[in-house]
Amino acid sequence: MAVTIHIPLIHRHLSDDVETLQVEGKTVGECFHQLVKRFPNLQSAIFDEKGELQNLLEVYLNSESAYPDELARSTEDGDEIHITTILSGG
Amino acid sequence: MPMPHAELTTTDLQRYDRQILIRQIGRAGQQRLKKANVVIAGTGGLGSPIAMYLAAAGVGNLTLIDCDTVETGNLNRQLLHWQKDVGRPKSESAHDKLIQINPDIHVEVRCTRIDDQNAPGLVAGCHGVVDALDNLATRYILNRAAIARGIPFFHGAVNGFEGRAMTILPGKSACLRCLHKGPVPQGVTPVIGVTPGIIGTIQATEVIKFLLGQGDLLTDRMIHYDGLAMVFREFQVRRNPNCDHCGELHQPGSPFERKHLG
Repeated sequence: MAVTIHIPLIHRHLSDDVETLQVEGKTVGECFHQLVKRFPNLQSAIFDEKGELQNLLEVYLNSESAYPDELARSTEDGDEIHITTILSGG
Repeated sequence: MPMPHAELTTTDLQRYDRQILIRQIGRAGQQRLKKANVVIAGTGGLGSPIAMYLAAAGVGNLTLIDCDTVETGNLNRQLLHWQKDVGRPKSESAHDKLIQINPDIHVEVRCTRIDDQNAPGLVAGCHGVVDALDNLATRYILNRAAIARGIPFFHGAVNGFEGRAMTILPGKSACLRCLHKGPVPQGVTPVIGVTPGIIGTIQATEVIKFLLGQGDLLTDRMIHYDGLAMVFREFQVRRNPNCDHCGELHQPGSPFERKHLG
């Protein structure tokens, strides 16, 4: 099942400036592990030391908030996952 | 909250002629703007366009909160502050420019750092609070204060070429804290002026729409801007029943519900 992940602007230097990646996964968590497998530098940007989603990140599945329990959300072929970050500048 | 009306002077009719022509505004809408009282927390990158556009549109009462001093490094994006203002309190610098943009509005300044103790008093009695802050901690303080008072909170934030905005109607839509998961690292934020220019203008648009009672607000909707791709995306957000700022507001029969929602 091909799921498209949109990588946040703030982390594109860790994905060789790749903006989107198609992965296989039945859950958001599986998809993110595939993402990190492709771009290992994203490991600590996506996951904390406990393997949970970094607090800084927000996940939108098909443009709807996947919070809470983002990583456990089921994904289907054609789904789009947008990863954004909490912004704080002004 | 019902918006009282204010009479329009001959000067008002001249100054706001072009926007009064807008069907969603008219003279009645302009009167609502004139009588409105809006608090803007911050007069920097976001606060500058927000304050300038609200002043230009004739929002009659603006309260600016900023305790910082103008620095050279502000000048790439904080359009209310100019080279000659370096070293001045931002609140004074902002006040001076806004009353030149529109001498017919009332601009108050509060040169104070927002904290949990003073936040409720700073927002009391206004029709809307605008987030033009530069850090998450103070945003949450203001979010909590606005929620507690039942005052709409207009969120915006930026980083580099990226920005986001959302409008919070206490008790009715998701608040800023609904998405909170835990502490996040804070540091110096890279910013170029065009980004807060766009996000701040979106926030000002939301304020104006709210005051007019027109259009569809960014409630339960986070608009996300990517300036490099020049793409706007809209994400649906939901109220978090366990939110420690607004969760209790959505409990049927809660004191907040009885007080603010009737």
